Amino acid sequence: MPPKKKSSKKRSNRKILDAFQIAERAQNPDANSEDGSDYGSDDDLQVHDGILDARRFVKDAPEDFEDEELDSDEALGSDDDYDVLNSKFSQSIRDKAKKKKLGKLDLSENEESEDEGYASIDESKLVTLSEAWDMDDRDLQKTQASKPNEVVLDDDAWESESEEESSSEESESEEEESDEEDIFANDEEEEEDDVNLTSTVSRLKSTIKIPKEKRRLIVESREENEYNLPTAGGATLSLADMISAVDGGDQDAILIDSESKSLETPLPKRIQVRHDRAAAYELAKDEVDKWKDTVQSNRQAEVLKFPMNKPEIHDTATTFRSDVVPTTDLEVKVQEVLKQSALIDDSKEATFEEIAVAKLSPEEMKKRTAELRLMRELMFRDEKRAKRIKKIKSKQYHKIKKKERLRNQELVESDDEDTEDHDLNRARERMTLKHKTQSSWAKSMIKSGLTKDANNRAELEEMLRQGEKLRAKQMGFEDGEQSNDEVSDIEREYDQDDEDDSVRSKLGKGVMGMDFMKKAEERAKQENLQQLAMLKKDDLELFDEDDGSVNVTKNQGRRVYVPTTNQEEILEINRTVHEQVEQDQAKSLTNKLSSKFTKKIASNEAVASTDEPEEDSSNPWLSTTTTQTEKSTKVTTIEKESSKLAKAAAKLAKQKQKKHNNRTQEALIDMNDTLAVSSGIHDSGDEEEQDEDVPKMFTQKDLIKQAFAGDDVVSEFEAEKKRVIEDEDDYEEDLSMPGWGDWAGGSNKKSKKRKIVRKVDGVVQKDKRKDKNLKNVIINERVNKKNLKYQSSEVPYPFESREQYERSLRMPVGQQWTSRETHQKLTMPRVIVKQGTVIDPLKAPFK
Amino acid sequence: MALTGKMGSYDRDGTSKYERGDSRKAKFTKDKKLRSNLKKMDNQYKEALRSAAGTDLLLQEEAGFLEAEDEMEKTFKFKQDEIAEAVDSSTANKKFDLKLPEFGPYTIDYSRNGRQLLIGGRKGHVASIDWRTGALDCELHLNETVNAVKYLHNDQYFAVAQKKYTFIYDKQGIELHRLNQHIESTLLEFLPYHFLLATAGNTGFLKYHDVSTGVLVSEIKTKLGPTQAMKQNPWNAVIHLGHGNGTVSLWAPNMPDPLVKIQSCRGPIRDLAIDREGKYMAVSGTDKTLKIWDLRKLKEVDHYYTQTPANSLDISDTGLLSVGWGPHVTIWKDVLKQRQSNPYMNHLIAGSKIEKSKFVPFEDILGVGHQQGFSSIIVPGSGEANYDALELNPYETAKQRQQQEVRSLINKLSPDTISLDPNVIGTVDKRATSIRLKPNQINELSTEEGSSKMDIRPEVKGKNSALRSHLRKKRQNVIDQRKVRIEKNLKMEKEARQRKYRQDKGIPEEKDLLGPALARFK
Repeated sequence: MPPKKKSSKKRSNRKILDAFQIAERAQNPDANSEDGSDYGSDDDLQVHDGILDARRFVKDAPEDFEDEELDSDEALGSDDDYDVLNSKFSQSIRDKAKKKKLGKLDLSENEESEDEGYASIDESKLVTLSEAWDMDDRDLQKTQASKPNEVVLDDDAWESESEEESSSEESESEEEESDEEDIFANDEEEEEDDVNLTSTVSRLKSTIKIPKEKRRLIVESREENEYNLPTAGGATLSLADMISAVDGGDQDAILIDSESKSLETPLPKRIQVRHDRAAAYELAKDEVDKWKDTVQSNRQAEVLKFPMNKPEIHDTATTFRSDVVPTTDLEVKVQEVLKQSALIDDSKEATFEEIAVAKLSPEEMKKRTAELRLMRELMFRDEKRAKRIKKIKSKQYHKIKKKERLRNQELVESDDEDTEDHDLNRARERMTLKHKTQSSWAKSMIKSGLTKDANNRAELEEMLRQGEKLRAKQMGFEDGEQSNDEVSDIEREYDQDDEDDSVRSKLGKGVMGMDFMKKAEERAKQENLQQLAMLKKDDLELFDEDDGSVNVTKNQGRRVYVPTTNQEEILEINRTVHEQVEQDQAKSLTNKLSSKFTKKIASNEAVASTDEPEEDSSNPWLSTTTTQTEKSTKVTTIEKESSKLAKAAAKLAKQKQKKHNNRTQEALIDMNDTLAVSSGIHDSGDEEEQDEDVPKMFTQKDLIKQAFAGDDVVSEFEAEKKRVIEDEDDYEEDLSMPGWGDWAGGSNKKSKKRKIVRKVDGVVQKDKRKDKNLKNVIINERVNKKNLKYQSSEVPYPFESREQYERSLRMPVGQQWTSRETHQKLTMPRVIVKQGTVIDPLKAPFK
Repeated sequence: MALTGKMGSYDRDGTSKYERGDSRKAKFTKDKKLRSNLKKMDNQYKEALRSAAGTDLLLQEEAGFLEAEDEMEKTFKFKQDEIAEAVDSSTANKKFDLKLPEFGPYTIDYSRNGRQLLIGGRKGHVASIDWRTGALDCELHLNETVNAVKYLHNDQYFAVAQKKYTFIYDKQGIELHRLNQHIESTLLEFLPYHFLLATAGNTGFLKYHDVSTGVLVSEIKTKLGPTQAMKQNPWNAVIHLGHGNGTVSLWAPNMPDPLVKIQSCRGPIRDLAIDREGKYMAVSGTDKTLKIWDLRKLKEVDHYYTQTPANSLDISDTGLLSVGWGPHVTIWKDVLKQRQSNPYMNHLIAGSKIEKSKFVPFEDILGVGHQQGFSSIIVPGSGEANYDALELNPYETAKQRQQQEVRSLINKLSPDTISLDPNVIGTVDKRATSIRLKPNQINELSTEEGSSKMDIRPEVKGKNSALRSHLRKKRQNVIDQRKVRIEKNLKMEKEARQRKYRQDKGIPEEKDLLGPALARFK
């Protein structure tokens, strides 16, 4: 058929044109400007484009468009675009607009691309503007021919012009068509022998003329209706026409077979929808089934750890990894460079150290490592200690600590050659002379008797105290060491008194200065000194007299648990105490030193002398003194005159006692004495032993039987058991009422009385008791109701039988009963979420 | 042998001793899910067994016993001095004697981890001692008869059964409580997992006192006269009492009757002892018998005679039985398993009757309290060699002790859970519902719930207003102005109320008999 051919031809033309346009764009973007100028020259054409579009829409809509809305939108959109174009004469935008327009035209033409938006427009389907115009014209002609009553709103001039144009264009378009065909042919030829694009483009440029647009508005008076067939050109479709198509040998057109059945009536909507749903369900199911494995595995998993897939650990500068595998290009390059320059050799790195180590001897090496270890240990400890001390919040502690530190510093300073500081201090002290009463200020104070003033007096006292302190320092005492000993304190005071006597005498001329006061003071002093001497003596004596009895009972009944120590030890302790006391008493430094020296010697001697083996006193309970148990020795006096009987009795008694003594001394238990085997239950293997035992056993048993003859506990117990069995057994209850049925009173003849008996369940039946076969045992079979609340009356749900349930109970979870591993495993929560991480939704593993 | 995964399915030796319950294969079930669950559980169980068997490796210590070199040598002829010479010095140091002749005889107790020793002299001398170091925690002279002493859950508290009451002291010897309900108790036991102090004595009552809450849990009348002996079964916390008629009765705090009654001796029971696993019981009577009972079958296993009635029995963790009779202490080995003809060891404390002998937990030492004081003797193999520090730690620090205390308090068991077979808890008993809750019981429950303290009640003005208290004052004979006024006002109020009530009900007012003129004097 010719029209079809034409359409195919048209398509090919279009293709070519498209290709051309693309090629052109690719070739010289500059050419656009030329093109643009062409287009730009007829501005009004562009302006009226919107009108044109509308008209076409009105005309084509019934034929081509099902979705009117879309099109109108598009049309509007395009309008907007053109507005933009008008306002800004930007070339690029206009180019774009052109493309769009083309696309839209194409849309109107092709049913295939109805639903596609701009975005989806294929470039191959684009139609050149000229072609579009051709088509439009053709349509227009048809409509004009069919509808004479068409109203044209345009003014006459325009109409005429347009008519002229249309005529001219028609001819042009015909020409074009032919040209295009030619071009096509040429193209084909050229395709065969290496297509020269540039030449084609230039040729096309010369041939193709973009036609002018016609501005026309056609109003159709006909109603829009689905039954309104388009009867374009006034030609009506007749049967003959259709038949002719069949007869004309057109292979595509066939007559429907007369024998073919009529189409079945479509299924009811409801069922159709159901089928659709079923199909959709199948699809959805397939889709969802893909998750099945994942879901199942997650469900069966004992523990789910989120995030499921561990996030990649991003390397930072700080992360150290031994297995560095270069991933990025840069890393690869760096790695290569490093390798080439032999910088990245582990073995080499190691060799340096090896060489260093190899030089050392093993002893040295050991020493070095030991040193290092020691250092590390020390550092670690120091660090720990510092940390611990830093933590202490006690103010008191810190105060003491500070004092100590200062004192240490002082000591160090005195030791060190930190002379400047030291000198400065000395100088300051000297300047102030705060430690002596020889200073001019002090002298003047004393002279003028200003010491009665409280302030001055205090200051003076302070001075004296300072001096005392310094003196103590000279002696080598620590601060506050002496303050413990009151006695020596007093003594010291007196000593000082001697020194400062002159000072004190001048201190005041008040009451203290008077003669009788002085005398009294002197007397008191003498007395005190005497007492002191006494005390000292006592002190020493106390140690002398101590003879080592430590367990002094202070309180009746209260024992003092103090380890009993050796006499020698005590002596030694006493000796050392003596020495110390003596040392304390040594006043002068020289005295002290000498005493120390002698003490050292003495102690050495002591060490040498005490080489005796010391008793182990680590356990205070091991008392060494064992008191012998007193044995009461009955003294029996046997005289010659005494009778034979008495003699024999005495002898027997002696023997007995001897035997007894022997036994206690040896503390040995004769087996026969300790244990008598009862043959009642067991037949032990050793018959000999049994034989030995037999007589004794009999006697014992007899004795026991005799001893407990009175209370027959066994029979009592049996009676009790019988009673319990009876009580707890099922029993029958007679519910028959007395007198019931004997209406006529006590009759002589025996009436058949129906006994109404109810059986009541007891605790347990006689023959089902647990202690049925147990002798001497009564088992309580009553149910412990309070225990029952810890039991379940039925097998809990997922289990089907008691065995299954109890099987599940047999594994304890607590850490006391299982290994740690098991405990942790069994108590692990099912879902573990790592805190602070983003948990992504489950990823499909099948994709 | 196929290895699958970390906890593979390979077998390990020695799993059998960790097995619990039924080892038979479970029956096949149709339910797929249940089946897989059961399978999973079985696997877990197997793994647990294997893992437990794996921990055997950690139990390095072994118990060793005295062994004779040949037939002629008898272990019971070894004397303590000889043993002390042979053993290492640290063990030898643990053998010591306390000579306390004044306040004897001494009863003793060791703390649960064996660190502390508590001695109680009959005449009122009580002392708590860290016996290894010899450090004295406290020493008391109570000037009262002391019948029994017992440490509670740790060495921080101990109970002393004195002449009339039972007292609880702390480690410093400060009296914390006087248990007024426990009168004339002579025997003390402590159930560590239930925190129950059980006392029995001359009154014939068995009383359970919760020492964590201070509540008397139950008091049970034994109806068998003064109780002679009391020991607990460590396995199920059942208390065994020995009575004057030769019966041993087994008690739980929630049952008014004994669970089991055993006629063991003809004469009064002197003492009894139960082994750690709760399988055997040794009973000694005044009839000089010493019987071994199997507590599972409740059958007599063995029967011995002692020369004099055994006063004190104790079974160590390893199953050694110490029998104190007269001045002797005899120690028997394997006596629970089979009949023995010779004792394992023997010790004589000359001239001093044994009052109480007790094995030290986790030590090869037996402590003996006697007339003249206390002695601790070496018994090789008597202590459990491997202790579980999570349970009882002989070397625990103060911190650990505190934590253990808290943990054990959290895990405290209810006294209701005590029963002859502790394994029934959690199992299925068909009687459970039918017996547990009857309809009226349910109603009671619901009413109880309704009247709970948590209910919101309408706010009602208290009855004790100042006015009423003024009226209520005891000095009613004093009539003051205020009182008169108040009474008058109250009367008027009351009348007004009544009038209003009548009005509301529509009851017509009584006719004024006096008439309007006199009505105002009413």
